[in-house]
Amino acid sequence: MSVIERQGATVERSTAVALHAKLWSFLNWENLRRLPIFQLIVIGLFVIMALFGEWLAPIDPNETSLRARLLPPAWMEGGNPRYFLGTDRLGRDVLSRIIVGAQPSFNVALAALVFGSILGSLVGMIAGFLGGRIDSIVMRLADGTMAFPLILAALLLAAVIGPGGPTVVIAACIVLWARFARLIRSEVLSVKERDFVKLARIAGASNWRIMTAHILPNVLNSVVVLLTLQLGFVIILEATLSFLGAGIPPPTPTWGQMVASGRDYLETAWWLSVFPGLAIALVVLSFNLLGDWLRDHTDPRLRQI
Amino acid sequence: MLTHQRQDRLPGEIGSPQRSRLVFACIAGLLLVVVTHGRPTSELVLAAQSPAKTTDTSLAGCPARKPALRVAGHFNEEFTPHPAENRFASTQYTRLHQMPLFGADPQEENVNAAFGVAESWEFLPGAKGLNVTIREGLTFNNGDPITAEDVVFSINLSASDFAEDQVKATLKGIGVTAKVIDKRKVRIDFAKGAPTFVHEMSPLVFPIYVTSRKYHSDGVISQEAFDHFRKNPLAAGPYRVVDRQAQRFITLEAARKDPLLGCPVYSRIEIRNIGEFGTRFAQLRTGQLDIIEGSRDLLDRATSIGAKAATKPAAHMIGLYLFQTWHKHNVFHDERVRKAAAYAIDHKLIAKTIWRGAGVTPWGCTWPPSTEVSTSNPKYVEACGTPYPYDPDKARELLAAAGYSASRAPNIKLVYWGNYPEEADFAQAMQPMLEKVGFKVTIDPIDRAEYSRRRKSGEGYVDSILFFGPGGRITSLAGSYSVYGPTEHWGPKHDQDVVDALAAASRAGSLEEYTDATARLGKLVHERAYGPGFFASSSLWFVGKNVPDWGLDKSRGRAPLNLTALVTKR
Amino acid sequence: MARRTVSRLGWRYVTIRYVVARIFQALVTLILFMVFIFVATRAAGDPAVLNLPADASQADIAAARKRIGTDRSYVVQFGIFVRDMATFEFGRSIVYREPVTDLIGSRFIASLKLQFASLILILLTAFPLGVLAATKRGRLPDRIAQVLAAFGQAAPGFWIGLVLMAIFAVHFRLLPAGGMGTGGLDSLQYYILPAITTSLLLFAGLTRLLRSSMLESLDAEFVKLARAKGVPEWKVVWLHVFRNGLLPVMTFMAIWVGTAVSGSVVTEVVFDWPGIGNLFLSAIIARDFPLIQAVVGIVAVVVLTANLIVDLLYGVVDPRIRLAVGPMQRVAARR
Repeated sequence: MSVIERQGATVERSTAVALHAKLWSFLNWENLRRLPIFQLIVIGLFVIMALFGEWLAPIDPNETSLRARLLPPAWMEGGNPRYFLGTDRLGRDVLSRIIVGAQPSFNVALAALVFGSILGSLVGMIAGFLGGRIDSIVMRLADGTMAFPLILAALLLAAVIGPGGPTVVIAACIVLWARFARLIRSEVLSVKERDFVKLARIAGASNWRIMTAHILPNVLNSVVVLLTLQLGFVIILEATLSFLGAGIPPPTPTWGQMVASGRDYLETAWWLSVFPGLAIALVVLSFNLLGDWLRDHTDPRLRQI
Repeated sequence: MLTHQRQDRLPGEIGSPQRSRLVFACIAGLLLVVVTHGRPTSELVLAAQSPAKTTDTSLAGCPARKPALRVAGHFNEEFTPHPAENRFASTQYTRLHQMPLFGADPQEENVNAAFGVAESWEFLPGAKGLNVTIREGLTFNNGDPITAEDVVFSINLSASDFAEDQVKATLKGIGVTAKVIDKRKVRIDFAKGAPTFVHEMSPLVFPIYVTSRKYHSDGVISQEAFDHFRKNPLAAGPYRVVDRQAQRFITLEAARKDPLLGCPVYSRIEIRNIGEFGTRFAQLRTGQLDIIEGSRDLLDRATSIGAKAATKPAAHMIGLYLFQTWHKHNVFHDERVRKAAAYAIDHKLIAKTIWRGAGVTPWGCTWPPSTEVSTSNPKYVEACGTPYPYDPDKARELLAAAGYSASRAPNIKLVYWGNYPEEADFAQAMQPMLEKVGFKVTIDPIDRAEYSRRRKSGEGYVDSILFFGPGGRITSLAGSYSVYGPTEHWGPKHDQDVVDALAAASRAGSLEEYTDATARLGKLVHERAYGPGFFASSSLWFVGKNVPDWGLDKSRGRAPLNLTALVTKR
Repeated sequence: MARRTVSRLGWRYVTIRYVVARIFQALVTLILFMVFIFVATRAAGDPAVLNLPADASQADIAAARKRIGTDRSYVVQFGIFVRDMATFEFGRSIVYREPVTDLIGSRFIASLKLQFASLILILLTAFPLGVLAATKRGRLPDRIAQVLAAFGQAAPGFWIGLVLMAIFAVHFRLLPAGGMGTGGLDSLQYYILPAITTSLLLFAGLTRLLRSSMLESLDAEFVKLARAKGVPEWKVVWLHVFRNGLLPVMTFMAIWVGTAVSGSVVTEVVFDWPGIGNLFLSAIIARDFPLIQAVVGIVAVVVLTANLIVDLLYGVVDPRIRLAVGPMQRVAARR
């Protein structure tokens, strides 16, 4: 008995130690040297734009200047230094709109990820922990929602509650909760089978304690990784819905909407869709690569995600 | 794209009349038809009168045809071959395979009896009806003669529950009944005066086509009969429908030398719905299409790749509607605020930039809108021809006089619900203009469901400038009346002058009386700024090099495109 | 572990129970889906009001409701919906005035054809690349696969489609700019660009999935054993590892089926493809709810059936799986 108890304590402590060790190993020179500097810079810029965009934008993003429509970027012939990345068809500054447009894009992504991950993680934890029939039904539902074509559901939603931020967030959540629930559930299942949890149970730890003290810390890693990987998904979804007319309506600038509304000008005023498109691609790519990097460096087990 | 659907629902349709009377009239009409149809002599006589019928309509008498004409635009519709199901936007091709009762010349410059089944007509006193004389010797493409029974049947068909909603609503609203007088004469009665009936029912607006009673399940008007006809259509024109798919395309093929329109110029005409402009433009450039619905911003680009631009005037109308001005809490209840908005909008700049100055006319009063009929009266042009001049200082003064200041600015909404692609740009251009003079403006794009909801609510459009296409039934003031009339909670019902002017116009017994009345109403609306103007813009088409100019810019019809002059030759 | 000791008879019993339970779960999910579809289409606005002229009288609206069927109680309407689903008769489209079944038949086929083309494309590209990435882990092919997959996830599909069209159709005149052709061998060229556009997103997901599941198998005991026995490396990769790596791909296919049936709305709009997605967008705009209900309902049935089949196949292919735990989740959780 005492042996078991001691073992349980050791294992428990060892997970804590492992976590700390993980954090420390994170900060060693080897890793710092290989830190994804480029991705971090892009993401940092994105966050700054999202938070302080309104102060950073050189010009009011909604200021129209009908006499200065479709001006090319400043360095091109006919460009105006006032509008560094050119103007759109209402004479608004593309650069300012990209800077300010980071915020709604970011907000939507953040809201979707927060709701989706919390809901999904909760469902996944409960399903994985309780098992049985509840687990079966919940996971079947997750399978179904994931397989169901997202765009159809999103368009249906747009018809019900109107196009806009909430539509994009809810549509994204439909998929996100299932993705998170599945991941977390499988994590919980594997953690549950591990010796330290078994031992903790034998030692008389309550369900709640096992969940919070043993399972949650082990699962958190995967949540963070999945979060970074899914951020791009939400931004792209917003762009796609804008294209179909179910995104965030004007005049609020969002990157997706800028790409969508500039698509007819690919040949004549390419800057309308290329610059916001580039912004999307850079941010999405950075988050994806950061996610990959985090996964590789925090938990080698997860490398296979 | 969700917002770019062109619906052309209008403030100008009429509510349903006393249904029972109409049903009764229909039954009476049908009975008559049944009775008269029992006489085979009429057909014999007609056949005898046009002995050269078979050689007359054969394609052999026509010059060699060009292979194919392929057209694409944003037409989200059923592409039906059934004449009573076609929408007002589909006149462009329906007319090629069906014969209208009241014709218009191929260019659609005006109503012209030479191009319809009706050879002549005569209004009854007070425009309460029509006596129509049928042209002799006309046939459907299967060789059956077009008879007076067919005409009456077609009117009933178009007014039936299975017909297109707008033509049905128009016919029911006027309270139309028709009966055969003799083999060449039909009498059409209206429940109320409709001096613009012929214009409205011609290809200029929303034509009644003549369908074979016999071929249409022997005179049955039912969903099954409609389905059957749709699957096996019968044409009455130079072309016939050979293939179609709802929402996608319709394909016509040369069918005969038509007694009215003449020879088909092309062997095949394909008309498709391609909503995405980039795709249409790419297909024009790869040669997959010959004519596409254009985009003003790419006008230069189109000409630089060798395409030509063709415009059809006044096909799109974005009106600035102020609804529910009678409502005390509406900031636009105050005439000064209405005028301030009218002065604040730089109509000319908007026309020059958003529409790139291509085929757009700003008008002064939103309703009654400029129409084929009312613009023919110089009084209307005088009253409504020019919008308020751009004068932000005056606008500020007016707002100040109305008691508004920077700390207490009037909050208004710019509402649009996806009638025309320009609306979003238009709202975003107007917003700063209005804010400059002291309005506080939010842009509020809505969809059809929300539009209807607000419309049903008594105060859904308080404090709003709604962008709206005055669409189909724009020749009839009866339509305006049904929207702005004192019982509708919609127009300025508190303004007795306007109410009186509306009533006078709806009582008009002749075209002249009618246009005079609309001019008077327009003057009132303009002076009191009940509608701060609208933009009548042309539809824009990019045309491939190999397609000749067919004078589209002459057309005054309501459909966005008119192909008749291009694809037929007399 | 305990499963191994179950007798043959016991296995049969377990299998039957497993199949029955799966079918039951699929039915429960289908009913949940149908409730969702039903509520959503009803909440989207009254089609009777929407499709009539703005100032239609109450009598007109009542008549339209009667024609459409919205005048009945919700319970009856739901019953009708269930009956429609069972008989595949969905009434008449409000906007297009034709029986829904007539409208959607050919559109489903067009969508399926396009998705089939993109599936072939994926099989030809993502599979070799995924395998290569796993076996040459961390080296150039792996990096290339990762970057390609990341790009596939970083650009919106409509934009890629339009750019592809501008390059290959307009500039080089190699391929048609949308449309489906008239059938026959000649229309194969119409498939290329839309298939590439559709497959890009799936390509990204599948490459990653294949890579990871192969990596897992590469480390497995039986592979080490095979290597120790001196089996040539190519044999190890293709016979042992690839076969095991294929399991999650089956799951992927089940997910893909949903997209295939509904078509990719975006690709179909960009390339003017006569598929169901294109029609669905129009139906949504017009609130043509018999049409909406039919499309979404059919998609739900197909998706759930595909999931069910893959589940059952899994049970056949890999009896070791924990029966209480759906194999789908096990695998999909890794995505």
